[in-house]
Amino acid sequence: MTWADGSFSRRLRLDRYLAPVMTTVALGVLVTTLVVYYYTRGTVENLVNGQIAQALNFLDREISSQARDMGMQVNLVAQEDVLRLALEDTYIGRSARVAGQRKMESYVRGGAFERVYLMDMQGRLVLASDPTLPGSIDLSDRDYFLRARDGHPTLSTINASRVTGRPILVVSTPIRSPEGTVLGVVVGIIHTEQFARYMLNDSRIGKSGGAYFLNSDGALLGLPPWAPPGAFGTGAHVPELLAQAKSDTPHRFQRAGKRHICFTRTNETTGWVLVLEADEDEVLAPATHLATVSGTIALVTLALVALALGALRRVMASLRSSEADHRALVELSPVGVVTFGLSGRPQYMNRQARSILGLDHDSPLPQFIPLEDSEGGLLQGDASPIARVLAQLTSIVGLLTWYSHPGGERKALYLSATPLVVEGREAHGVVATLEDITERMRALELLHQSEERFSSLFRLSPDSIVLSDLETGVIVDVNDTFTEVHGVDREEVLGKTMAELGFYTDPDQLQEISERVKHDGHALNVEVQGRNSNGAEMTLSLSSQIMEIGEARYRMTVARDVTERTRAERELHENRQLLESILNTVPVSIFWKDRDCIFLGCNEAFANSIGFRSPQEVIGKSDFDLPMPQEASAHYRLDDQEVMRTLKPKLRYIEPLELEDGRQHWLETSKLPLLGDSGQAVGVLGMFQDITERLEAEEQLKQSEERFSRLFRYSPEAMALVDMEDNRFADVNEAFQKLSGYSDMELLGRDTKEVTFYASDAVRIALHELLSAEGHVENYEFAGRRKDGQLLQCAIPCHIVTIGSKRYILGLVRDVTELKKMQEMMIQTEKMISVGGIAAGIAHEINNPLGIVLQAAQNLVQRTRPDFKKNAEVAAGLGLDMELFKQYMQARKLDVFIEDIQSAAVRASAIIRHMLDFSRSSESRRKVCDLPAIVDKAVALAGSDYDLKKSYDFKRIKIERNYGDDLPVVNCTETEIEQVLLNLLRNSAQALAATDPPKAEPRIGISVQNTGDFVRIDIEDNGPGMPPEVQRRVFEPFYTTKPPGVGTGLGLSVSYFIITKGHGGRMSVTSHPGAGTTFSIELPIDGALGEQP
Amino acid sequence: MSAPARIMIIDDEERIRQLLLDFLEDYDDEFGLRSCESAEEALLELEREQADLCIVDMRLPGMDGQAFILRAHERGLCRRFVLHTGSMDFSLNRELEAIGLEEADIFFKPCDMEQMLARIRHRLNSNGARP
Repeated sequence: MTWADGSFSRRLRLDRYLAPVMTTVALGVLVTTLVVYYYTRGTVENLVNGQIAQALNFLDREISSQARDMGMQVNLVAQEDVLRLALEDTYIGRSARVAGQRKMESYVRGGAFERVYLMDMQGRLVLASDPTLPGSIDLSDRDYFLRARDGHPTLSTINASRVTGRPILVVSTPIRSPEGTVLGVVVGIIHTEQFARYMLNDSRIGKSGGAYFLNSDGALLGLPPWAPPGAFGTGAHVPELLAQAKSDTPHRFQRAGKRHICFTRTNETTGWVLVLEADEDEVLAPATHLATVSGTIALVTLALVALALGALRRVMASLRSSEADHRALVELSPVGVVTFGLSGRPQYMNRQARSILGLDHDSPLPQFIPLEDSEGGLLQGDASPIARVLAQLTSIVGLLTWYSHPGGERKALYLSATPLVVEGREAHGVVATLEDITERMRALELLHQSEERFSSLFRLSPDSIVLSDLETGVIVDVNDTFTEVHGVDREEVLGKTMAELGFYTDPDQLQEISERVKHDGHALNVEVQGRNSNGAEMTLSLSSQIMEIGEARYRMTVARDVTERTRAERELHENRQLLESILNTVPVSIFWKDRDCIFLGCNEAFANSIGFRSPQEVIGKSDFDLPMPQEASAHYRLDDQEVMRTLKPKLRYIEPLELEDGRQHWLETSKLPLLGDSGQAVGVLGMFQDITERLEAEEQLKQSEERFSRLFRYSPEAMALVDMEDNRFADVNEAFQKLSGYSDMELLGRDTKEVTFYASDAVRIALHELLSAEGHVENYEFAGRRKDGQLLQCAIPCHIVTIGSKRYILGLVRDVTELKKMQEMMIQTEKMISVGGIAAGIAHEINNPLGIVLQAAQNLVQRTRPDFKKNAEVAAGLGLDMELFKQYMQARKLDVFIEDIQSAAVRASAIIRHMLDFSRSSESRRKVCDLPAIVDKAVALAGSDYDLKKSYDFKRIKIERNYGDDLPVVNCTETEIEQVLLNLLRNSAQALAATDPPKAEPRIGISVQNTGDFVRIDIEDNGPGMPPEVQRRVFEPFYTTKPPGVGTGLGLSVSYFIITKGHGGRMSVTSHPGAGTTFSIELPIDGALGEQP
Repeated sequence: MSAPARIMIIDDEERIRQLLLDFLEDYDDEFGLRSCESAEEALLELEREQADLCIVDMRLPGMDGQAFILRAHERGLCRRFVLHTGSMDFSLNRELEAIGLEEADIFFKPCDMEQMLARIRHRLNSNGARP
């Protein structure tokens, strides 16, 4: 419960008492009321029941008694002789009847009956009190008659009289003769109403309750005379009523909203049901009244109690609130409050007390509080302050006690105790307050100590201390050092100001300090110049401060002689400056770190190299604070730690410096441990130089060297380096080794002359002379000799080079053998081309005369034929015998000469034609050709070639064709390819023909294949083959192995020309003597244009 | 063909002309022969009387063989031609092809006159459609 809702809680607390009380009272009242009500009701009910029972009893008895009375009366009547006689049907009888009538009437008048009958044995009504009756009704069937006749007197009730229609009570008895035989029946009748009339009149219950009779079958027999009609005995309840009549329980029912209760009794004599009906509420009214009354009383009581309690509550509330306040006050008092009982045992502790004594706020109160005196003796028993208070009934104020706090400390407690006394009575307890004055005492102690300390300090300080009045500056106290330094006594200076004393050279400065102190409260480390006892100048560092001692305000000034110090500082500063300038001037980055690898300092070079502006920014940082990757920092640290651990310097090692901005430098670093006095490492000193450039330069040089070395070694040109001084091979590359056939082992260090690379020494000398004269030689051609003796045609450009301090000849040796051959071939080709060009020019000129020759020869042949008609005609005209003429021609070989002329002309023509092939531009006739078709055509042509027929029968050669499946078409000039193929076939055929001994199965194999980039035509014969020297020259123009006159010697060269130059293809020959020859032609598939001639 | 075919030989070399004439004379039942030494002369002659076939040397003084052929054909002076030429790099061009000349009609000097004869006969005998 917090303080804020205390009021509410207070009320709740009061209500808490109120509520149960009220509840109890209410309950009590309720119970009482109920008890009273029910008891009263019960009692009243019983009373009523009793009353009713009594009434019923009365009625019951009355009815019975009345019935019996009737019976007796009837008996009496039956005893009347006169009636007996009346029964006789005689004269006596008649007169008896009259008398009997009179008798009957008298009985009726007497009130016993309303009617009386005399009936004979037959049931005839002989006499009746009402003389009109006999003979008018028949009662013979009536049960009462019959039974009476049988001799049984009866009492019965009839619900409807035959005479009146109303219910009647009938008593019948037999009239007997003196002998006892039944002579007749006497019947007495009374209306039940009449019977019941006065009986019922007095039976009243309440205001409306009364009694009535019912027959056993429910017929209403009698009502009280005062009853309103329909009040009793009628209604739906009747059957139930009858049913319940058997039991003793009252029957309840409702009618017109009122509750009725009926008590029943069955009369034994008549069998009637006597009903006593009452208004239930009327019956119980007393009970209800009583209950109400008692209830009301109870409620009133309750109300009064409530009021009283309410009033009480207010009082209590204020009391409680007051109590709560007090309690709170006590609870929260900053002073510990403990109440003790008479036994000296704590009954209550407030929060503070608990705290002081080290008890939790919810822990139970101890039996005893162990307080001690200053010596540590426990105050218990009579010595206990509580006991004392109780005993003496006086208060203790301010007793200093000690208490061992559970937390361990010994607390000083200030105890006050007062007995709790209620006016006039004995003390019922003690209330004590506890104050924890430990702190205060400690504080005092400390203050005291502090004072002592200060005093000592003041006195014994090695610095001068002056205590002066803040306002006036008058010296109040000085310490011993002051007196010593300035060489004065204490008494001399007290009462004067510092200015007056003139110890300091600049009084204004003093004034300023004083002002500053007044303003700021202090002035620290102000340097002033002063004079000591010897008059020597000294530098003092003044610190001055306001000091308040009690009420007074003083200024305390401490002056330190810093003369030495300043001087030392100045020296140090100068040294430092020197050091710094050295540090910052050397071109080396220097840094030093402490044991934990934190930078203690560095020079500017270092700071700049890692991206800081000044060494100041570096101090205090660790490697990880530098703008470089963490791994690098970790690595540096490891080095530092290693150096510090092993105490061995790491000198001049190369490491990378990678800064965050991406720059990478290489450093030559040295790290040394800095040793402390004990020889342990207290830090590490590092320095490095940026050797990035140097390394780069070295690297470049190395690369350059490598490059050159590689160039030299792997150059496809043969290179040799010869030392000019001693003419020895200094270096040769791979190509040179290959060229010369010597390995570098065999060359290096050897004299060039010795190696006999030069075919003739004269060459070498000449070369050297040229070289010396010019310094270089462009292309000196000479014959060189390989290791295997083979001669090479070489060309050698060479230079004199200077490498380092030595001069070398650097020579490139080129094997120009091939080149020369090529050149020759080219020249040949040129020749051929020029031949072609000439040929084109002269062809036309020669063809005409050749044409003439041939035509003339042809005419000669034609006109010397004997079978020619024209010839025969002319001959006949001349008388010439053509046959004879022919014979003459043959005999004189004229035909042979003509033949010679023809063949020579043809041959000349062929030569011209072939020569023209070299100049022909075949571009215009180039188209896509089907090579197999061309081959076939060539074969066909070969078979019918004019020349060929003469030397060999082509048909005898077996031609084997092998054409590939995937042959593409090729761009070519058909006639030219034909020509080439024809030429090759001709050559093969001629070779086969020239075989000696002749080949049994001459064969030419022609194969056409797709080799990817080319279509390859191979023409292979199984002729004699050709030796290598022939093979080599076979494509040379005018080179022929045929006898002179056979062929032009141009065939293969022209073919070569056509294929290579004309179609951009390749042509070659493979042959082995005795194993046939194969010519191969490769034509490019993609129709690449051949070179222009 | 009943009437002998009229053949005109045009060549500037007298000997060639004559030799051709001599050769073809022997077949005089077949051919009627005339010769001219220049294209202009030939055209005049043909104007006078047409020819069935001309044997034309391509290199002529003045108008050359090709021009003559085209002119003659155009004017309907002669329909069929055989070319007899000493220049080895002669080849048919479209214009000549257009008037029906084929490769087989070209004979390079020196040629076999028998072959030329065969060709002439072929040309004259086949009456196939010719433009």
